[in-house]
Amino acid sequence: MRRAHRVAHGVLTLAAAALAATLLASAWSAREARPAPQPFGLAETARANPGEPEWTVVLRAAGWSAAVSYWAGPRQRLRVALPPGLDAAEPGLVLEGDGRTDTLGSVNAVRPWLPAPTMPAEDGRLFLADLARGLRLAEAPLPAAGR
Amino acid sequence: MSHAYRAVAWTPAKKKYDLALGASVLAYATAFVGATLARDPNVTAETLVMRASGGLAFAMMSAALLAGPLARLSPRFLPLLRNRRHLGVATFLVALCHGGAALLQFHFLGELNPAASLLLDGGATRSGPAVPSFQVLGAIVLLVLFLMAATSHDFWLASLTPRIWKSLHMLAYPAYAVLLGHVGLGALQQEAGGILWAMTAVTGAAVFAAHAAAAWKSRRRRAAPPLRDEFGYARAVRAADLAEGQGRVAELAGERGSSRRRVALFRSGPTVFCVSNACSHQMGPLGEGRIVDGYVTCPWHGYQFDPETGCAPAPFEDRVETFDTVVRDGWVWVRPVANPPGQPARTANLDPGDNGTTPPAARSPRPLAAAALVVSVAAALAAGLDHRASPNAFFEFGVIRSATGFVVADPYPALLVPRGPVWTRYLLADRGKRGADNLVAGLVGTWATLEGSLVYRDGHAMTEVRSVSPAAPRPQPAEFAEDLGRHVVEGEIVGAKCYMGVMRPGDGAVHRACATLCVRGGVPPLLRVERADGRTEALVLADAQGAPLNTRILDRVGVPVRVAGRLARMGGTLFLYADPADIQQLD
Repeated sequence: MRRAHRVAHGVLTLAAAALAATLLASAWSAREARPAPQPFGLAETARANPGEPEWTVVLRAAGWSAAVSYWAGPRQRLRVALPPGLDAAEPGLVLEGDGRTDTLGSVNAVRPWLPAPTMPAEDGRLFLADLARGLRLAEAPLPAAGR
Repeated sequence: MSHAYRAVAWTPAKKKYDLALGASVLAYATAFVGATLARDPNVTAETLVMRASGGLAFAMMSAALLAGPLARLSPRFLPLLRNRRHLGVATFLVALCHGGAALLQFHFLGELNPAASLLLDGGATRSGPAVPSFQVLGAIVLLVLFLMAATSHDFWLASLTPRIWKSLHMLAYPAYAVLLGHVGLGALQQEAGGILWAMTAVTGAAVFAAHAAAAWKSRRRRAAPPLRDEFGYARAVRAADLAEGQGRVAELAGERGSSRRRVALFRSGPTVFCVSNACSHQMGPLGEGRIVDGYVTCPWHGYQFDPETGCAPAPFEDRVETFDTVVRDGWVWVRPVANPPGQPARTANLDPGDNGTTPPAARSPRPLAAAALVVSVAAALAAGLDHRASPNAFFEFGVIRSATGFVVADPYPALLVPRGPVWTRYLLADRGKRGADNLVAGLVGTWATLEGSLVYRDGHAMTEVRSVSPAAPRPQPAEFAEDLGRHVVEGEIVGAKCYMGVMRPGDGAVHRACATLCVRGGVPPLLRVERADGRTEALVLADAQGAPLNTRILDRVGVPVRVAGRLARMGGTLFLYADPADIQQLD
C-alpha cells in the first residue's frame, strides 16, 4: 500500500470509529429514554374529580326542569331514561346539554330512543344509564310538576 | 488481467473459501431460526427473515473488514483474504434480503410511496437531534454495499483505475460505522437483554481495534530509520530473516529521503528478489504472499508476477516494479529507485552461511473454516435467544370470518357486536396500512354484516375488513363511557392493527415508520402502556372532543410520550382523550 493510501486508510478508519462510537452512544441514550413501567391499570384508577361532571343534561318543560349530570366522554351518546308518563315527543319537552355543541348534538340524537327499553322505569326520577351493562350512572328526582 | 472483461477464474482455494462461506451462512441461519423458534414460537416468518438476514449481514461485513488487519497481524489469517471479494458480494446479497424484507413489511401498502416512506420515516416530521432514522442509515449501508458489489469485478477495477476503485471501496469503513448506528438505533432498541448490545459493541470495537493494532505493528516496523550506504542503497532486512519462498515487507527511504515506500523481498534458493509491495491488481500486499511455482503470488487474489522482471506470466500483461538488491554484511540492501516495468532487476545471492529461516508450514484453511462455523453458530444462538419474544397476539391471515353488529365511527370505525348482555367493540381497518373510514362511510349508525380477518391480543380484537354490507335493523346498542378520571401516563403510540397482532413486534423503534404510516392512513392510534406488573394496556387515543388524532400526532408515533388526558372505559375498551398539546415526547 502506498503512503497516501495508508494515510487515507488511517484517517478514514479513525473517522469511522468516531462516527460509530457517536452513533452507538446515541443509540444507548435512546434506549435509556424508554418509559419505565408504571403503576397503571383499572384497579389503580379512580376518579380524580368525582364531583365535577363534564356536562349536564337538562330535561325541561313548561314550568319545570330536571337536571342530571355525568361525565360520559366526548362524543358519547347519552341515554336518558324517562319515567313513565313522559313522552319524549311531548310538545315543549326539551332535552339539552350544558352548552357544548357536540354534547347537545349527541343528546338530541338519542331522543328517538326514549324511553330506554331495557332499564326498569322508575316513576319520578330521571336517570342516565349504561343500558348495555344495566348500570345506573346518575339520576335526579323530577319535580312534582314533571311527574 | 487484461482490461477487457473476463469471467471470474476459479481456483481450488477459491472454491474451498466459498464452500466455507456458504456453510457458515447456512449454519448461522439454521441455528438462528432454531433458537428463535424454540424460544419464541409466535414469531412471524417476516420477522424471522429480517432478524436472521440482518444479524448475518452484520456478522459478514464485520468478518470482511476484520480479514485485512488480522492477516497483517498474523499469517495464520491469510486464508481469510483468499476470496474476500465473494464474502463482500455475499454480504450485499444477504443485506439486500434484509432490506427488501423490511421495505416490504414496513413501507408498502401505505399512503406514501415506499421510498418516500423509507426516507421520511413513515411520513413523520420529527423534532429532536438530527440523527436520520435507523432505516435511512441501513439504506445508506445497502447502497454502499451495492456499489462495492457491483464494481467488484476486475472489469470495473480496470475501467475505474485502481486509485478510484480503491477509494470507492474504502467507503466500507464509514459504511460500517453507519451500520453500527443502524443496528444500535434499530434492532437493539427492541431488546431487553444485554447480550446483543454486548455482541454488537464488542464486534464493532474488534474491527476498529484490529485496524489500530495492524497500523501500530506497521508503524513499529517503520520506526527505525533506514540506513543508506554510500551507493544510495537502503538497508532492508537481515538476510537470515528471509524464509525460503516466503515474502517479507520492508520500508525504504525515497530517493530524496522525503517519502518512504514499501517493497516485498523474496528468497528463492540462494537468490534474493525485490518487487513493489503493491499488487497491480488491487494493491494487495505482495510481501505478505509467497512464491508459488516460481512466481510471487499475491495473498489477496492470487495474481502472480515473475520475481525478477515483475511481469505476469503470459498471456497476462500486468506488471509490478522491481528493485535492485545486494547482500552485504548479512543484510539485504535495496536500491530505492524502481526499475522500469519489465526490466529485469539486479538480484543478489546470499552468502553460503545465510541459510535463512525455516519457512513456515503451509497454512491450512481448515482451522479457520472450522472457527468460522463455530463462531457463526455461537453468534446465531446468542442472537436468537436474546431477541425479545413476540407478544401473545395473532392475525388470522387468510381466514375470513363474518360478524353482524352496529357500526359506529367515533372516534374510529368499529363494529359493536352483541355478546349476551354486553357489546364487544371490534376496531376496524382496511387492508394494508389504511383505516376503515371509507369502507363503512355509508353504514355508520346502522347494522351491518362484515367479513374480514380477525386480529387479537390481550382479549381485544379488531378486524381487517374485506367487505361490509347492510344488515336487518335491530335495537341499537347503548354505550356509556365510564369515567376513570384524569391520568398522566407514559407509553408509546402504536398503530392498532400492527400492535394487536398483524406484526410481531408491532411497536418499538424498529416498527416506528410502519406505525406512523398506519396512523397516517387512518388506522386507530393506541397508547401502549407498560404496567409495573409486567402486563401492558392499550388505550385508544382520541382528542379531548373525541375526534380522531391521526394526522396531528405523526411526529410522536413510535417514540416515548407522556400523555395527560381523561380516561374512560366503554364496553371493555379503554379510551384516553387528550389534545395533541397534551401529548409530549419524552426526552
